[in-house]
Amino acid sequence: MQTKTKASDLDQINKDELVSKLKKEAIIANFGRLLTVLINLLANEKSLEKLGKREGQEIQINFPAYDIENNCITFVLSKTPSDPYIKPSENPKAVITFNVKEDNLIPMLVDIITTKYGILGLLKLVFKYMLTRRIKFKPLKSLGAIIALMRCFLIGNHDVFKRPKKTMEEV
Amino acid sequence: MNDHKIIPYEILLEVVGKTSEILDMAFKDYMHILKAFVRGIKSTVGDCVKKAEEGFPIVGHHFAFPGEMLQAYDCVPVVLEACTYMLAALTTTGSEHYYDLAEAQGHPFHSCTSQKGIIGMSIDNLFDFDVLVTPTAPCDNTIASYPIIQYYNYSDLIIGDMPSYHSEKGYKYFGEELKIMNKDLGKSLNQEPDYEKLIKGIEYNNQALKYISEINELKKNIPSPFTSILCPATTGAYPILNPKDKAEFFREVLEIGKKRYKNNQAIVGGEKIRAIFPYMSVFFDIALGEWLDLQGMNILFDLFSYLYFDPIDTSNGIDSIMNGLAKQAMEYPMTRQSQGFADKMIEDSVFLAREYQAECAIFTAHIGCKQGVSLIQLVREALRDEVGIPMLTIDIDVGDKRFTSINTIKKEIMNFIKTLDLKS
Repeated sequence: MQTKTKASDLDQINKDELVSKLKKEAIIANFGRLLTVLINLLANEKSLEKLGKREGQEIQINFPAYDIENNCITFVLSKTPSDPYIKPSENPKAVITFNVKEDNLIPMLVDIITTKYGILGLLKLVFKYMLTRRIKFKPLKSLGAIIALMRCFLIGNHDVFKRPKKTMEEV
Repeated sequence: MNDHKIIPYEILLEVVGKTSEILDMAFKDYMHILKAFVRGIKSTVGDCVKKAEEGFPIVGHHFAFPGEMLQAYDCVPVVLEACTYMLAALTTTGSEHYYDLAEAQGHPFHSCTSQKGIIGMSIDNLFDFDVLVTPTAPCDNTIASYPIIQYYNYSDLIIGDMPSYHSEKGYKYFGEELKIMNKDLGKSLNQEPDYEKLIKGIEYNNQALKYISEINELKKNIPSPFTSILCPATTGAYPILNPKDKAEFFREVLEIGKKRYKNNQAIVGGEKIRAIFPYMSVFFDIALGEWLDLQGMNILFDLFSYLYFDPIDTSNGIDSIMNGLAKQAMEYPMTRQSQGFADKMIEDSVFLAREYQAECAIFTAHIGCKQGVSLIQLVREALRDEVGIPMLTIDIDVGDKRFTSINTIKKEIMNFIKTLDLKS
């Protein structure tokens, strides 16, 4: 069972703090769900195959913007990734840290997922986020695992991001 | 001071807010229905959280109870089953911790997770209901679970007896029950009902029903202009959204459908297979609908997305309105098919498959629904004999991914698709 804040005796702890903690846990679990959904739906076949070659390897993603105990998700790499765990990995191949304030987190995530995979996309990640330390990578054992996962996040090439041609009426 | 009487709604509000932000920012021309749904939930749940903070009494009710009745009171209506499944849809951890907590207290593993989650949340003191309201429908889980939820919340529990006969006599009987429930609600809340507010709520609901029937007409087109996500979205939107948000959501969906119809726009993968879910959608994975679209399978209907009742005439006084609400409650999806006799479930599945030219069916055998699971073979034979289409059955728990994982469900559907003759 995954770690979860217990609320069995609300009289003894500050309710506001507890609710805030539960909300943060849920937000991280929400990011985990949405990222998995996007990978499964929109990542290209080649990227998923690369992920499949690393079946079982774990990558931990930290969200320090949320000051709770388990402020991370752990992806277990697979060609069809399941939901990540909401706890630190016991054996991470790499750790990614999204090192931005809460307000900037969603714009950054959206910017990443709408980026097209390719040399330009990777360069954008390096210059815009890595060099500015907004994303930190810690390849404990494998840089390849990070690249395999990140290329699945870069789904901007997918048809759903193409603007539809305007109809005569809209023109 | 915020007493935090509906913590799961507070959490849900946070989560739908983030989901909405990401979807709106990332996808300009994709997932329109999902975006409209999330917006609607954010608005209604936001209202509830605000009113709870202001100190209005909290009324928890079953989705099969006509929630419009609560419009007559100054209260915060909370649809219990929605909390569990909305969290399961939008977060990886879902409501699993709360299912386990209820089971640890001896609640059976095979009961319905929709209420099991609420029992766990109540054990964890996440709710503080003033009143709970439910009909004796649609299933044994409801009848067995609400008293336990009452026990943990020290709240009042108002139960309306729903008869098995879904006939004029039955509607009249339940109409009388609703009037008694209405009286009891007034007593529990220490309020007089404001019938003008009730009528306004019903009028918004009537608008929503009008839009839904237009949406259903549009679905007859090949390809259907709607995407598969509309089924679970309708399941959630109808009971959860307040009447105004509900009317707005279905108006938006209709507009999306009309526009897509005009552009002859099908689902992303192209509509290769028209399918129905004679039972429920899968609630623990918000993206199954989008995935099915990508495979070229369009889910036209599930149990909850076709409503077999008419709008209520509000011009003939309160008695007539109560009888109208009684009829709607008894013909509400799942209550209609599960609470009476088996023929309704079989007839409705055949009707939807035939009327909307479905080419196959997928029955999600939810572990909690004993009454639904017992009908699988009868529905399968009826669909084969009368419409000539095959039906796949998948054993699942619609609210718990640990029972059958989404990857297993997808594999089963992919294997099923291989057995069908696909349009090129």
